[in-house]
Amino acid sequence: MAESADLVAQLPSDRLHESPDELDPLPSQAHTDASLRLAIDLAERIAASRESRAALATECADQPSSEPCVEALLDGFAPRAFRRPLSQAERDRLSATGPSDEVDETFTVLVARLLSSPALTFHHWSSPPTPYDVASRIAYTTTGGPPDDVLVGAASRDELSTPTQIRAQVTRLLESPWGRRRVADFFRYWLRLDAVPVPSRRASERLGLDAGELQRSALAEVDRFVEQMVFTRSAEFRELITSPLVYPEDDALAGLYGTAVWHDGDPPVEAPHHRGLLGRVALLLSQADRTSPIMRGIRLRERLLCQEIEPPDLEIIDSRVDELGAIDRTEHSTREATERLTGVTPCYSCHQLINPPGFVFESFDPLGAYRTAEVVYDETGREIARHAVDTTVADLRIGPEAKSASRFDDVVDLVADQAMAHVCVADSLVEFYFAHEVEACATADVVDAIAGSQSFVDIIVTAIATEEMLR
Amino acid sequence: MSERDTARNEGRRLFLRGLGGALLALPTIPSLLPRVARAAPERIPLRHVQIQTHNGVAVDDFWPADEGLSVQAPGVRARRLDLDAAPISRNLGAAFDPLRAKMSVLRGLDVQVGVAVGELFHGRYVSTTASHRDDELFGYSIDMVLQNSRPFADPPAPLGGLRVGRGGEPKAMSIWEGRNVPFIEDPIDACRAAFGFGPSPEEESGRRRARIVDRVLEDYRATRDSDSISNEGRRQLDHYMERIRDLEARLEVEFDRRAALSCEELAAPAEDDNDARQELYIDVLVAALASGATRIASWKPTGYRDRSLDFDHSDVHARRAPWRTMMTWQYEKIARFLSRLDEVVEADGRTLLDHSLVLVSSNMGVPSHGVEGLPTLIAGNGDRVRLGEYIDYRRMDHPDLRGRPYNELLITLFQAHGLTPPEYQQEGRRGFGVYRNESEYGAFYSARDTPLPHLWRGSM
Repeated sequence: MAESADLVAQLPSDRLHESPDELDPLPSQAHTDASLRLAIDLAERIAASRESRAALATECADQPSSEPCVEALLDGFAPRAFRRPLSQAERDRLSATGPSDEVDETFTVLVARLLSSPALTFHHWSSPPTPYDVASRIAYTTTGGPPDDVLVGAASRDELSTPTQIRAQVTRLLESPWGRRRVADFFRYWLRLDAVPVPSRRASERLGLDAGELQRSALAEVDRFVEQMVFTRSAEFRELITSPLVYPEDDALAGLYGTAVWHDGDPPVEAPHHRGLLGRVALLLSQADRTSPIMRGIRLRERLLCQEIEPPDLEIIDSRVDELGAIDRTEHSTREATERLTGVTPCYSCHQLINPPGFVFESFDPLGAYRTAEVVYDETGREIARHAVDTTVADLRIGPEAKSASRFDDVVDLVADQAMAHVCVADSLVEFYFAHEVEACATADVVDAIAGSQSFVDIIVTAIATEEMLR
Repeated sequence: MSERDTARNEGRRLFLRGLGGALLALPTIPSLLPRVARAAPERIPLRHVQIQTHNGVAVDDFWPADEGLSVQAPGVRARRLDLDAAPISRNLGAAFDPLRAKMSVLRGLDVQVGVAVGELFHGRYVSTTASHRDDELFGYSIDMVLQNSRPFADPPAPLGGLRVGRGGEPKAMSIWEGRNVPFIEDPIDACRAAFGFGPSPEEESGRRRARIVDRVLEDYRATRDSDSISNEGRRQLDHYMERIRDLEARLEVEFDRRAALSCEELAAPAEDDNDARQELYIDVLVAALASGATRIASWKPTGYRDRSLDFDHSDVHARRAPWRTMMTWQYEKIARFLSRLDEVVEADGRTLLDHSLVLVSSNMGVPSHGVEGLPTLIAGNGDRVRLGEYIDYRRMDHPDLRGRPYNELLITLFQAHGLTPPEYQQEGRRGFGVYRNESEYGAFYSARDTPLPHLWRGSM
């Protein structure tokens, strides 16, 4: 299957933020080429294997191009591929031999056609949508896959015609493995977890850690945190942002959290300094051997509050760096260096928003461990300076009112209750699940659900199970 | 006769680049010219070509100048081949100039067998390190292993290998005989071997795929025209069908019935016209490789005992002018072959040469039957091997300037073709070929499956 795997790899990424056409609902040429070639390749491979043919239909095991085989495919495999019963016209068209078809290719051609059929490739186009279209919408939106037998059964009984019926199916599917995986994918999308860097190798080696392994472990811990919060604890949004629970499954990560190792089935482990999503080690890792209050501040603004930060003018940065010269890290802390670099016009216009929350994150070292002092090392790993960590800011500039902060908890609590954060996660949910731009009215119910302290599962259900499904 | 049989009898077509692509100039085989381009296969395969020259070289004629060599790795010196405008060497003359970036000249690769057992060896060292006395285990040549290997078997080419040439010591080609791939002297017979049967699996697959895409398009058309479809749905389907038509156009296979290949149309070269014979070999080999008739080709271009070559064996040992002139002529033919490969543009825009690994070497280093320093060059695909350089593996601290085992080059080629050690090792023995003369080469034997340093660029 190596070639098929290659073809799958050619399919354009469906991760929204990776594709320049991310919100274009029309398939690209690359989508078309890869999906058609994949369908044909799979058909050829299935045709070449008796075992695979038998798996599709036992009648096809030994006589793959016989009439019984074709009938069996149209009765069994085709409705699964189409996610609905076939019409008689479709049966007639698919069972008819083309003028240039080779007799011994009937099986290959039919399977390839089914795998690349409009019904399989596109989810819905009928006007008004049939119950089977609605089933497909529900399934693909909630799980990223085709409808299961329960959903197809509900469609066949016309039980997908009311918002209540749709909400029940979405709730059911959300709890399935595919639904849960898609929820994890949402958090990866929302928090841009694929941009989490491999942490500084020098910093990692000082603790005897493997940087790549630490990155993988930290990202996996985010998945566990989400799974536990959303599905095990039925957490609301606020708990996702403020919970002190952590789920490190190895010594390295537990060491960074300052806790014991957690194993599946164990009672939760608390790390009071590492609250909520913002306190995950994965979101605190730095690529360099020192922290970046700027990057941490930008992440909070862009991801949690959906505020756009203008990219900096590189010439201004260069001239500023030239002007300042090398900043002696033994003399100045990272915060002080950042303030010197950005505290002038025009830098300050953006950095007055970026820096304050970023400075509060100075409670965490480049590997995400809580700290009260910033230690500076030379290239050999020898400590050459130590600065007290200053996390006090006069105004975080989050929300309509001025709010000072002296510790990370202040940021966490403020974000959890911010309407701006509620709108941000609601917009992100709709953007992720429906892959289209968000209109304000589309998320009003979701924002209400967040503000109303509903569980995050219910929040997702509210985002998905809209009347849009029926139109 | 069915349409399918008719198609079979028409023979194969070249799969050169699509309409508007380059035409391949094959003057001696006009009927092989592509009338209609063939669609590209899904994955363009990497071919293997081995060319065996004969009786070594005159050292001063073959090797590039050492000026400019610098140490690249322990025991490896190298320099770029394009350092100056002068020809690479007398043998590798102006005809190689356009190929400099796609070839490397390798020096200091030694076969150990002759040294160890005092034999005089002829003709196997291009593709194996075994002598004709070695047993079956060591007797495998790399082309034989490649022919049955995973990268070359999926799907298999109709012809496991095409091996052409004439003359020379009979045992020089013995490794190529009796292995279900005949050594063919008559170029017209070689043409028949390559093109005398039906379409290749790639062609069959291409035709089938074109038919499937056509049927898929029909399905979309029928759905698009149904009454229940929404305007948005119709817009999506229209858009998608445009993309399918685009793909269909690229997959389309047009078979020009009039362009049936007939090897019988080829003009047989005169018995003493070695030049015409070699030209015909070149055309048949290029056409066979381009068409997918085979992915492995072997060629012995020397015609050493051909009546047209006006020199005596004593001229070889004495390195006299007639022989030296013949050697230069021989390398000119090799350059012509490489250039022909480089004229064929394949579907991805790269050339047939770019999709080939070509190994050129001799059965000995120098006419005195020495088996050190085989005159070796590689050309073609540079994804995994370093091209454009003169790479010298001679040990400068060795009194006789001995180099490294030639086995390491064969290992390099195996790995460049994507084979893993278990796929080329015979009966689980590490490395490939004969490892003898421990006193001279034992230091290299501990890492038998390691490719040649510097030449090997690593996995891509």
